[in-house]
Amino acid sequence: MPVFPDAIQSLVDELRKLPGIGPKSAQRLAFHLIVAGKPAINKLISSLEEARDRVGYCSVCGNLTESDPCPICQDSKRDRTLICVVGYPKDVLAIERAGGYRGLYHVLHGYIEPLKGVGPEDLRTKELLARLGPGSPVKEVILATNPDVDGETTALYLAKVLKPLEVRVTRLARGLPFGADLDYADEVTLARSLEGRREVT
Amino acid sequence: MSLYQTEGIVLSQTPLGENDKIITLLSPEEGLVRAVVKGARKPKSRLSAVTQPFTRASFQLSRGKSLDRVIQVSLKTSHPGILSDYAKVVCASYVSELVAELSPEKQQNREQFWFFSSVLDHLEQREDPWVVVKWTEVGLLLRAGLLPSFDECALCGGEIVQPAYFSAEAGGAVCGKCGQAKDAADWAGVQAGNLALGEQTVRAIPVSPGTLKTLEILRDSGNQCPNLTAKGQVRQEVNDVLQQCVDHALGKRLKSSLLVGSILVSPHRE
Ligand SMILES: [Zn+2]
Ligand SMILES: [Zn+2]
Repeated sequence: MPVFPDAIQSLVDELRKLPGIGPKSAQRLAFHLIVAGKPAINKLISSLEEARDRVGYCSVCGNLTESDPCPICQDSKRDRTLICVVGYPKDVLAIERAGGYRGLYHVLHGYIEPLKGVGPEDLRTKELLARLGPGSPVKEVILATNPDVDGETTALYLAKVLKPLEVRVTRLARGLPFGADLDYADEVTLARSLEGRREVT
Repeated sequence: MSLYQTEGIVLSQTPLGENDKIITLLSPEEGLVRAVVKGARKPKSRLSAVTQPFTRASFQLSRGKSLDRVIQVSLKTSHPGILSDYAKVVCASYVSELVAELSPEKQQNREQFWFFSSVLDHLEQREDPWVVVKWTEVGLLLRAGLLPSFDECALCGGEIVQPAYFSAEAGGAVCGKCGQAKDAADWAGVQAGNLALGEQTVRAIPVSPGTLKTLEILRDSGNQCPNLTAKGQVRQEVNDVLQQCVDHALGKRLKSSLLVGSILVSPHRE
């Protein structure tokens, strides 16, 4: 029993493939676009095409970019002795938004996930090691992977392979979220915060 | 809303929508339980950290039509000794995937729970995770009734004489006589890793006496992980034999088995 014309159904099917879009949202988006008409749809088509044709990965850091190397890698004012390793391009955005960091990045494009069969060689780990080869200006690698099992596992692996190199390896502090109540914190987070305590100067 | 309380070990987690996740729990009373953790992916979630894989805790859940829901968690241990060691995390992921495959859903299974609970404790405490993983593979297959025989020939029932072979598809260890017989009616011997069984050809690998002995020790050690290690040829053969056994029992290769295989080839070193 076909409810929609085929063209709308296939639009709904395509939209449903997007992350966070369920069947209801896909329908709502499809109807919205149809009602919005030609100019709106053409605008969307051209920005999709532009994104497809102009955006790629930076050959140095792996971030999304329109120029290669990306603006961050090209910026001579950034500190070339620092590399911050993150899982995904969105994490670069998050750290840039926070401000205060002036070093470079390295995007792994994923985490080690044994249960999905994703190992170190499926990530951009070789490219990271290449950036730390002889003559490299890098003095410190900051592991800014997620504070969950996959992120921690990836950080443990990287710490292990970076150990023989003459580079300082640091990890983002883990602990209580700012603005949280101490007695509301869970046991694991609290234990880790204690472990990562710092002297007050 | 019907609430219930159970011990549990988190085997895996997958994201659900924007804010939630689904965890798979192994529990003594309910076997495998799939449950939603609401809001687990929001930064201030109280349930996120205590529902990470390998966590053992007391869970309060509410029963749902298809999925239960985690209401409260009281932590027993997050196994920090596993989480701080790359090789151990990979091993723990593998044994978690294996126990999930070999435990029925929503069915009481106390013995399985306590066995697996001690697997994670051993993994945390032992320096070399190899023996713990091998003991777990053998233990889980044995409990599921899927462990092939190691001490008598799967084909003739006789004693194992060298050169011995192993074939999970043939039912276990194969004696030298059967493995090398060229003109027998039912089989044509092992050639280049293949054992002809009547019409069928199955995979078979040569195994040394040390390998079969090690497998017997692992099988007979029950709830106590033995204190043994292996290197070189025996380690490789035990790995190959148990890989065959697991593949054959499940009818597929586990996703985490490749990564764990690369870690267990050589003795663990810090
Ligand atoms: Zn770049
Ligand atoms: Zn025989």
